[in-house]
Amino acid sequence: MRGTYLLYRLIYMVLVLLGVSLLIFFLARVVPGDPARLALGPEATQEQVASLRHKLGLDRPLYAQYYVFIRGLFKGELGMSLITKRDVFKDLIQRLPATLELVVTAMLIAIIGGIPLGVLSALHKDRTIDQISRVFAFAGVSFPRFWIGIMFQIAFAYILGLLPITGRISGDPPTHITGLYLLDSLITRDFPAFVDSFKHLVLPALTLSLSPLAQITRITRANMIEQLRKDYSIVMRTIGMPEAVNIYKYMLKNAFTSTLTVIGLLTGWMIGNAFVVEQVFSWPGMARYGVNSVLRNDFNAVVGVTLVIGVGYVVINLIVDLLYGYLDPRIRLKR
Amino acid sequence: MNKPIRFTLVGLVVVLLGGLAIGVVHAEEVVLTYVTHQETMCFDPAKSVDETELGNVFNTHDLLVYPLETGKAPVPWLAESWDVSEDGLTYTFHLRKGVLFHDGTELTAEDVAFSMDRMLRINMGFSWLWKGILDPGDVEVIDPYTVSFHLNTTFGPFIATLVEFGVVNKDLIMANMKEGEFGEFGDYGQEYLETTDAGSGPYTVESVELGDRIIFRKFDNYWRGWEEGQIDKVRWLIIPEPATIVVMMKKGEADMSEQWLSPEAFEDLAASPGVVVEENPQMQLFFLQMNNQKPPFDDVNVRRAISYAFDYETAIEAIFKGGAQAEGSVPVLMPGHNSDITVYQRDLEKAREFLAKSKYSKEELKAMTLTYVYVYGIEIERKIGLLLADNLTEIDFNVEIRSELWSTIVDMATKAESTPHFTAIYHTAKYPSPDSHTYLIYNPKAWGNYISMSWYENPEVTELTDNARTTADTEERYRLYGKVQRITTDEAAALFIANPILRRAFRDHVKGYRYPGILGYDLVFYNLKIEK
Repeated sequence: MRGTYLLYRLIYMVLVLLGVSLLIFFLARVVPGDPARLALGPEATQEQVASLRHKLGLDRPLYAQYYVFIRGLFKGELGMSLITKRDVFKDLIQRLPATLELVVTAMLIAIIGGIPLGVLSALHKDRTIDQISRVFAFAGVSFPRFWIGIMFQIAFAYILGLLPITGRISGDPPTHITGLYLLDSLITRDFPAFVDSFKHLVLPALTLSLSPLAQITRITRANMIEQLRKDYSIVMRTIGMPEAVNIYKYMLKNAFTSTLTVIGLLTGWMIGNAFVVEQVFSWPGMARYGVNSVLRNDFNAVVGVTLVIGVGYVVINLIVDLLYGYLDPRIRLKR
Repeated sequence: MNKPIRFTLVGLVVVLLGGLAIGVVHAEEVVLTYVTHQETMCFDPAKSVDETELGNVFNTHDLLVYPLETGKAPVPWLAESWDVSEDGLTYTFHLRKGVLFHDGTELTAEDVAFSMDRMLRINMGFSWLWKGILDPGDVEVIDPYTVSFHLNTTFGPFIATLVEFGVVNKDLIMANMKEGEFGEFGDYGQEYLETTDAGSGPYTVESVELGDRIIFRKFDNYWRGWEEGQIDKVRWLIIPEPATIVVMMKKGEADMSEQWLSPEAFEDLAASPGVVVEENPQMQLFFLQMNNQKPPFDDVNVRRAISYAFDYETAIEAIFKGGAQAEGSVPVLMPGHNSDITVYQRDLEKAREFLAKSKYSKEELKAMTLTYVYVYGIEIERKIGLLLADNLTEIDFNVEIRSELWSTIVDMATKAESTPHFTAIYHTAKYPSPDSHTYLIYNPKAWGNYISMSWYENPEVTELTDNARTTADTEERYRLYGKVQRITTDEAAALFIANPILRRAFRDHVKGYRYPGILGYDLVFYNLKIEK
C-alpha cells in the first residue's frame, strides 16, 4: 500500500517538475533582451552575437531548444550561465549547500523556538506570556528581513563585536565533502573551521528564522487551543493524566498536522526566498544567484534555480505527506 | 642526561622553533582584503569583459604592452620592442627573455601565437577588437623570442588594443583541455580556466569559492621581482551590500573598496578615521545619447538647443560630486583628445535661438514628449534625468523618465526605432586610443550597441573615422580623430556631460595605488604596498 503510494507520488513529482520546467523554460526565453549580447559584452559585433546565439541554440525553434535542454538535463548539464560562463549545474552544485545550510538551520531554530512558544501561548491564553508571544509573532512577520539583518549586524557585529558581519567563514573553508561547512568541518575534525563557520551562521540563520518562527508559533497556538477545548483533553485532565504527557504526547501530536503543512511550505519558500538574507550577509547561496540571474537575464541560470526550488517544494511536500500518515493513522488508512 | 629526557628536550625545542617559524611567516605575510559587490569571476583572457573579470586576468596574466600612465601610449612589457612594416600590415614583437609562467616554464613566441588564435577562435571577450583585422593563423612564430602579427588591413590603434590581450601558457592549456568544439584543441581549456589561471602575472589563483571569494597568492618568480611590503596574499571578497562594504572599510576588515559605491558613501568613508578615498579623473564619458534619427533630434538645431539648456555645473557638482565637464566624446585624459572644440555651457537664450531656427514649430515641439531612459537602480542616472526634465521645461519640452533593466536597454540599442530619445550611458576606455570614443560611437559599421545609440550619421565623419583607423602615423591619426571631435560636438551628436571621477577607499596603510585610465588596470595589486 505504502509502496504504491510512494510510486504514485514519484510519478506525480516528475509530472510537476516537467510542467515547471516547461513553463519556466518558455517564460525565460520570451523576456526582452538578447542573452547572447549580454554574455559577450555590449561592444561585441553582430557577427559575434550571431555566432554565440548559434552556439547556444538560440537560433533554433523553441521546441527544439527545449528538447536539447531536457537531453542535457539527463547528462547533468543545464547550459552555460551568461554571467559566470560556466555550466549552471556546476554553479548550483557549488551554491546550493550554502543555501541548504542556512535554510535548515533557520528552520531548526523556527521549529525549536516556535512550537514550545505556541504551546505556552495556548496554555496561557490571553495572559502576559501570550501577549508577549503575540507581539513577537507580529513583529517577526511584519518587520522586513533586510532591516532585521542590518540591525543584527549593527548590534552584534559592529557594536558588540561578538559575531562576524558577513560571509560563511573568515579563514580557509574546511575540506570540501558536502559543501555544508558545519558538517564538513565535523567530518574532517577541523574544529576551528567549525567554530568559525558556526559564528558566521548565527546571525543570518536567526534573521531568516524569525518570520517562520512567528508563523509556527501562531499556528501551533491556534491548534493547541482547539485541542484544549476537545472532550478527550478534558477527560485526560479529569482522570489525572500528567499535564506534560497530556500536552506533548496527545494534544501536540493531534495539533501538529497543520503545523507540519506550514513547516513544509515554509521550507520550500525559504529555499527560494533566502535572497534578502543572503544579500545582506554576503552569503554565497543559490537564492542570491537566482535573483542576480533574473536581473541580468541569465536564462539558463533562471531555469536551473527554478527547477531546484521546484524539486525542493515537491520533495518536502512528499516528506510532509508521508509524515501525515505517522501523525494521523486515519490518513494512512484512507490511502 | 638520559636518552628519553634528551629526546623530549630536543623534541620540545624543535616544536617551539617550528611554531616560532610558522608564527614569523604568518606575521610577515602581507595580506590585502579587497571588497566588491560584483560576482563575476573569470581568469580567461579570451572571455573577460567587465571590470572584475579584467582585474582577475590582469593580476594573473601578462600582456605584450602595458598602459602604465594615464593619457600615454602603452609601454613595452612582455614585448621589449616591436617593428612595424612600411605598409603597416606586419607588427614584429621581440619578447623579453626569462619570463616564467606559474608552472615554471618559459613564456615564448609559441604561447603568444597560440593565445591570439585561441582568442579569435573562442570569439568572446575582447576578440571584437581584432575582427576583420586578424584571423586565426595570422600570427607567425619567427623564433622563440620573435613573433609577427600579419594584419589583414592597416589598423592604427593596433598597439593600443593589445592592452586587452593576455598571454596564456600553451602547454598547460593543452594538457588540461576537455572535449569541445575546437577539434584538436578540444574546449581550448575554457573549463580549466574557470577556476584557475594559466598566466605569468604577479599573482596565481590559490583558491576560489564561487560567489564568495578568490584568494590570490604572489608568484615568487614574477619577472619584475618583489620588494618588501608588496602584497603576498589578496583576499578578494564578494560583498553584495554596499552598506556592509562601508562598515567593513570603517572597521578595518577590508583594505580596499570597489569603485561602485555612491558618492555619499565615499563622503562618509573619507570622513572616517583610518580611511583614505583616492579620487582620479577617469578616461570615461558619461553622456546622454540623443537618437539623431528620431524627431525632433533629427534636427541639429534642436540638439544644440538641448545642449545649451542643460545645467552641466549642477550635474557635476551636485550629482557626480566631482569630475570634469566632458569636452566632446573623447575623455580629456585620452591621448589624442582635441580641446579646441565647442564646449556647451548652460545658456537659455542661445537654446531658444536655436529652437527658433528649428524645422519644427514651437507647437510641434511642445506636443512631443521626450523619453529619457536610464539603467534601473543607478541613482546618479535617475538624478540626471530629473535635472534634465527640469532644465528642459524652461524651453517648453516635456520629458518622461523611465528606468529599464540593462538587458532591455541593450536590446533597444539594436534598432533606431526602438532607441529612446535620450539614453544615459557610461562609456569607459578599453584601450588608450580616441578610436574607442569616435569610431564606436559615430561610424555606422559599429551601430547596434549601446555606444552608438545616437545613430549619428555624417558621411564626412564616417570617412574620417575609417581613414583614421587605417592610418599608421600616430600624429596624423590623432589629427583625423580631432577633426571628428570638432564636427560631432558642433553638431551636438549627443549631450556630452562629464568625465566622472573614479573613487576607491583604502585603509591608510595601503600605498602605491595607481590608476592608469583603462578599465580593470587599477586593480593590479602588484602596485600596492602595506606600510604599518
